[in-house]
Amino acid sequence: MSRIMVVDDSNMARMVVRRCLEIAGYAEVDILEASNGKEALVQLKESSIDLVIADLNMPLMDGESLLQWMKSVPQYQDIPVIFVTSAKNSAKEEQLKNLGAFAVLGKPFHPSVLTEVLETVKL
Amino acid sequence: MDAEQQEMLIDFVSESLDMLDTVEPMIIGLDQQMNLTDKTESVNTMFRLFHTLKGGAGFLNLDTIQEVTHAAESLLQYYRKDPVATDPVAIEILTEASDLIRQMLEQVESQFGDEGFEKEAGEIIRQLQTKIAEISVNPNPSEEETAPLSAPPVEEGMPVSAEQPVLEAPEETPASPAPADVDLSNLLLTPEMMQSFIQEAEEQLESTEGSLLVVGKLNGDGDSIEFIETAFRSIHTLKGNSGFLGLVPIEQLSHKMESVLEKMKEGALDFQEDNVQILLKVVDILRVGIKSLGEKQELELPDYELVSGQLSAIIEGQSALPPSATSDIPVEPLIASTPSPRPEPESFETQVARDVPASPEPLPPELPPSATLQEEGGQNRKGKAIPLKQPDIRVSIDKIDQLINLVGELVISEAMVTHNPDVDMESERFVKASRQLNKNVRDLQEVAMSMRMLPISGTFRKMIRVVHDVSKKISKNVELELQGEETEVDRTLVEQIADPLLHIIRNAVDHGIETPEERELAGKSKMGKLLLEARHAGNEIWITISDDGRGLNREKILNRAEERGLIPPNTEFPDHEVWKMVFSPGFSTAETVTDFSGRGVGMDVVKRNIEKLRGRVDVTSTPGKGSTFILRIPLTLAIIEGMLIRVGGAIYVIPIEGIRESLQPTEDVITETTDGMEVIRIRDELVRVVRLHQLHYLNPDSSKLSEGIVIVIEDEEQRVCLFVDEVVGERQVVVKGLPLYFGEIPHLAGCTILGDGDISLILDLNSIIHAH
Repeated sequence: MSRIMVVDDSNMARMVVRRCLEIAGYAEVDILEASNGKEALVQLKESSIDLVIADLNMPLMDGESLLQWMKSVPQYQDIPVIFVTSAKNSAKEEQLKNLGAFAVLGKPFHPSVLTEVLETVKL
Repeated sequence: MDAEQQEMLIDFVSESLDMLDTVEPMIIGLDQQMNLTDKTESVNTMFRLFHTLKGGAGFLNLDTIQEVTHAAESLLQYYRKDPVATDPVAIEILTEASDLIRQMLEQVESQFGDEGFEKEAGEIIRQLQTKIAEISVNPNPSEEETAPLSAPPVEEGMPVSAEQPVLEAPEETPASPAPADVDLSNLLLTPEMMQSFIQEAEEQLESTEGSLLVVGKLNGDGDSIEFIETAFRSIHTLKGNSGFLGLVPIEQLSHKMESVLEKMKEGALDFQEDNVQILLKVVDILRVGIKSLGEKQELELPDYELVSGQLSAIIEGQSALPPSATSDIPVEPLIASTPSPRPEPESFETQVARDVPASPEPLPPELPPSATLQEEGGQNRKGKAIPLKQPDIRVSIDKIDQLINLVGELVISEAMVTHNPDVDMESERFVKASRQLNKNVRDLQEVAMSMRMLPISGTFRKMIRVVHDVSKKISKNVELELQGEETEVDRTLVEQIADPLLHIIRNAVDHGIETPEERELAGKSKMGKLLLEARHAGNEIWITISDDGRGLNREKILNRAEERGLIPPNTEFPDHEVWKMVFSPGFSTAETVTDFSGRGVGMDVVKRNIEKLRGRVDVTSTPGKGSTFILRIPLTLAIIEGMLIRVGGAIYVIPIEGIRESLQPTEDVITETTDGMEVIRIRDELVRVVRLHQLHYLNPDSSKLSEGIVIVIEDEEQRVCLFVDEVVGERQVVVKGLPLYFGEIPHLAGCTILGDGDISLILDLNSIIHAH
């Protein structure tokens, strides 16, 4: 079974992503949650995760730092990271993609947008 | 079609069938006599359900279902405006539509598609549209209302207020041309989400407010940027979340706020007091909005237009950058469209540097140990994942109170068992078992009590705003320092303490602290200081409010009191009695605010409120140096550790925190002072003796000090020796209030039931210590 980690400091935002995954029919995936980059690091270490959906702006450790860290560690660098942010603009997106982000979604997004992206990730 | 899609369709069908089950009786119910409110409500519910169905069907490409539901929704849209207009024909058509949708859903379940019903669907849609045309006041319903695939009506932007939206979506509302943007909120929204949103929004606003207040104070100095960033982050999250819920006005306001903050961060806008003021106002308005969502399920944003305009003015007036990037914020396609002129926040680099040390060991040591639950995720049948961080659940306070009461009873029962006279106390096994029971009961009690405890920070934080507002209004500079914010108090206390605190603080800023000019003349710094401190002291929480203002004016208070007939003229009073007068009822009147520059505005109310909490207020004041108010309130701990002591036939409980030591005095340490006061010398210190039997008129075994026990009790200020017959032992006791018909018995804090069923009185140490 595949495992997705949702990283966002807002519980509500995590619920939304969770719900989107539900709507999109990802019922058979295991969803883990973390409320900031640091918690995400712990999670990554402790369980095998196939995909990360993360917010950008978070306390303690933001999404970008999380991504950079993941890309610097061989065992995590292949895990796709999808960013979900309301501060999306093309410069930011470009920057994140250069760092290795799989996709960048603007908040709010329609579940189908997430589904489309998820379909391109082979889980 | 792959398995995932099939699964999705099946889920959709089962959800939709549930919805139809709800809708059908409602449609039929419309026919019956119903009051208007009920009718409106059921029309609204039906509208929403059809709307949701439509969204889901659209998402899954079930075009026929989508078209039928849309037509039904459009008809209901008319009835929402005029629920009385429903007639049997319309009800018939809606019922048929609902039947057809059901048939189609059943087919979807087996064949994963809704093809083959085009003819029936067309017929129903035609009927629905005819009906719409017929009832519509406007003989030509707009294209939008009838076109099967049009966007949902504007009101749907606000999912929780299906009725009249209090606000029209403002002009700048991002147009949502993306086809994907169909009733996002309805599709997504769950009640838990809304709850979570409200809860978080409150926190975000609080954090924003706190940071803004600091920014206003720092006036661009020092760490302003850091606080701006905190405010920015909170508002940013609020924006994102409200976007998901389709709460457009909130999204708009927070977006604009974010733009202002961003400009401040970049230095494109200074931290002018005025700007901060407007931002604070927006916070207030948003707070009202969130509150209305929680209470009325409706969004109300007073002065929305006004502040929205003000924000825009700040954004536009101060910079050449385009007003905002509003239009490319929500629902963006995957590939970004226009390059945004906004530079990246600089904080990223610094955060990276701070948060991710470049060391090869990637995990910083301070990482919290995480409670991983994902192992259980594997057993999770339908993949409803178990969150790592267990979210909190809401429990009604009644239940918690009930639990605490039961724990209290349990403590008594435990004592009844473990101190039961019929039990063989020598039995090792019994002793072991009772020790175990005792430990468990204590742990349980601690957990139960902690459920009701909250840090006082919430109440304290509110005062930052109060000080800010009051001092601004009367042009004083006041700095508020908070200490002990993390002090936990019972939640009922948190609520009840806010008002008295507010009162004292307002008075301190208004009357206590001088104007900057006066302060300068007095050789003080222009900035007045106000300290608000909370801490635990024994069984009490002490809240101290002290200012460095002019202090209470003895003369004026005495004059005032005489004027009011509270004291006989020309009498001498010690200072502390003078200060107490400000709490007398009738001391304050409206004119005190203008005529009288001392304190006393409504202080009697403060005193009364604190006394209701079994607490007391004390004042100390030094002319020219300032005043200090101390609120001492017992923690409403229902269970305390106590020492049982006996005097004659009475057993008392002394709260253990107040006991320093106990000893049997020898004759040589007992002396009497020249004024006849008994004292005992303990390690070179003379401690006054209080005979409990004298306080409560009891017959002691012996009235000779050397034949009994003295217990040294103390508070922050002094200690006394309490003379008793003997110490019985230590117990955990459940505090019960004294029945009212006992009246005021001095020196008692309450009573308790002992293990053998006897009643024991709990001593109020403070009043004993200060008895003479």
